[in-house]
Amino acid sequence: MSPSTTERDGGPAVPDDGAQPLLGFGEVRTCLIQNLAGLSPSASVALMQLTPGSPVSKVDRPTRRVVSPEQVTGVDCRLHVAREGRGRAIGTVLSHAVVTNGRILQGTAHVALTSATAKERREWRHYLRQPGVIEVLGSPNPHNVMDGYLTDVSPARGLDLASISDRIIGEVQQSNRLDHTTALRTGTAVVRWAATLAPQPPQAKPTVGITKSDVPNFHVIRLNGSPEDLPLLIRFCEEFALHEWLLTTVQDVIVPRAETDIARDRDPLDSLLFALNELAPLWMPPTHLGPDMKALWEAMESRTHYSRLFERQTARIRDLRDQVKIRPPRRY
Amino acid sequence: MLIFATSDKGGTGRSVTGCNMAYRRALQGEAVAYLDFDFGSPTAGAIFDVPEAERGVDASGLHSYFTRHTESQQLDTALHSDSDTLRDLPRISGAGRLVLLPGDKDGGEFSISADMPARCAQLFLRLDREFDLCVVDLSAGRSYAVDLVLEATARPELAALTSRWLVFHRWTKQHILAAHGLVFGERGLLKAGERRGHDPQRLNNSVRYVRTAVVDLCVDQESVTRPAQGAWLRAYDQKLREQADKLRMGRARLAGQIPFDPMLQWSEQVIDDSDVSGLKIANQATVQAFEDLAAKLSDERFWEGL
Repeated sequence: MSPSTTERDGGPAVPDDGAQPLLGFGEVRTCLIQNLAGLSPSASVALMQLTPGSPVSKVDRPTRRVVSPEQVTGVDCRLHVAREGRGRAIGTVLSHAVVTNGRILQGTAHVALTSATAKERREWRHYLRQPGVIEVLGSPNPHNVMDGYLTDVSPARGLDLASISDRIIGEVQQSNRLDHTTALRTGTAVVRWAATLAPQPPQAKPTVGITKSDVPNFHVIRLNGSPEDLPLLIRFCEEFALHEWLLTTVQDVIVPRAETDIARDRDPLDSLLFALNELAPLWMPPTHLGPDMKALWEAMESRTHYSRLFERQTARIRDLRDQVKIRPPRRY
Repeated sequence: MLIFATSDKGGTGRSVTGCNMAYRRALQGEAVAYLDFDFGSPTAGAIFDVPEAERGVDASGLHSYFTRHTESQQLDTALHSDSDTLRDLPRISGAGRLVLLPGDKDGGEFSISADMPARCAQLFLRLDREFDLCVVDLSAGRSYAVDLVLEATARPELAALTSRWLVFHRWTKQHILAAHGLVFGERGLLKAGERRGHDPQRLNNSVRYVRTAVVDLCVDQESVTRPAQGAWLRAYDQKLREQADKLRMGRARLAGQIPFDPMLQWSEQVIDDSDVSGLKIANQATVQAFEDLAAKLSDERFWEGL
């Protein structure tokens, strides 16, 4: 079957019987595609064709972004609730993969939590009608549910979106469309996020707060918005995750390794050029996606100064490259 | 690169040598992952001196990765180890990371279900994206773990990765025979690999041997005091060499020879130069042997087909 493409980003469904979601949870993993060369547009689309027949979404500018159809995973588990309270989560989690410029792979799992529509578990038919919605049995305080989700380092105990986003990455990376050659050794970065969803006054904009945890390559985001903002918040987290991965990779992997290589008289040029040619062009803050996204991004930028940091790192890479040109290492 | 460390018998010093080899590679600037695939009795946590993984971790170890489909923990030894040597690693300019993927405390051997080889391949692929070197410490003898990795490495998605095998054995007649059986025997690696789609010739070309706890007559002068004793040891050493040559386990396939070190007999741990020159509790020859073995891993001429 030939892959079909549309220009539309799919969002999660809204519960069918009017219950408004209270919380949105998600997890994004970002890594390099295990392929020596960058994928062509058609190869990216083919790779994202996870469900034959379902449309793959593709946007070409400003960066090429190809998104797989949403995958549905049924869950029925206890919630990990901070402080006091208990809850049981039943419903479906949505997950999709994103390829950016044929180089970067992201796996996203996300869900909207609502209060249960019945006192007991209903038939699966009911939950399948609202993909991406989880009903919470019991009535734990939403703040405790949110803190429980964000602070649980071993999520295997509760709602395990980590495994779902990890699985989609694993499946794509195992695809026989890839040559499985690692172009640059880097880590996988994790962004875990939770959003409080409540109807907002008309002029209100969504807000964001970001914390870096002690675990390396792990960021936690808290957001506020109205239930209709959920697709926007998911996208914001993916864009944050992508840019955060780019900055970490350049700052903590490529630059230190090149400095060591130069000190030890080894050739650092391959990874420097990889950073300049393949990674630097991907720095493209999503401010073109509308005023709400712009506001979210600028709020994040005003505290993290990511763009300035990234500019400084790319300048450093150009310096290192020029140094190597002037005085090549002995083992060149 | 994937390095599989195995031995026929227990107590060969496979794990302590593997851990030290991994440490030397990290010292040279590589990002190294050490995978404890000894599901029955995880030991790498003790050698790296990681208290929470001393006999395996409580949850999310490699055993649960396969049997319960949880994520596997990655413990950076610089943060989790009590060993000064490992804690100091990040302070050495240009050194890489050394990360332990521990086993589970209440693990035990398990039989291989249909989805495990793919899951194993997925793990190796994921680690290859992040680490220059993965050392996979298999348990002694023919275990399910050996079958699992043979099946995983035969899968097409791992074809681009370099996989190499190190077979550890002590320097005695029985141990040489046992190691030979582990590779060439009816139930050996090559036959088992062939059944899973490996080319036995290619697989054999990726196997090298490490002799452990070898009495080095130059170093152990104190324990060899009588001339007759020295003469006998030299003659017997020669006999063992001839036996190893005959069994296709001779010098050309020798990846390393680790001298007998009294310290490591009592305390299986990662040693560095300060244990030799500062504390003077380990022998320089031992550290050098670990260093040489580590260097051999990526010496392409050494691994060319024989």
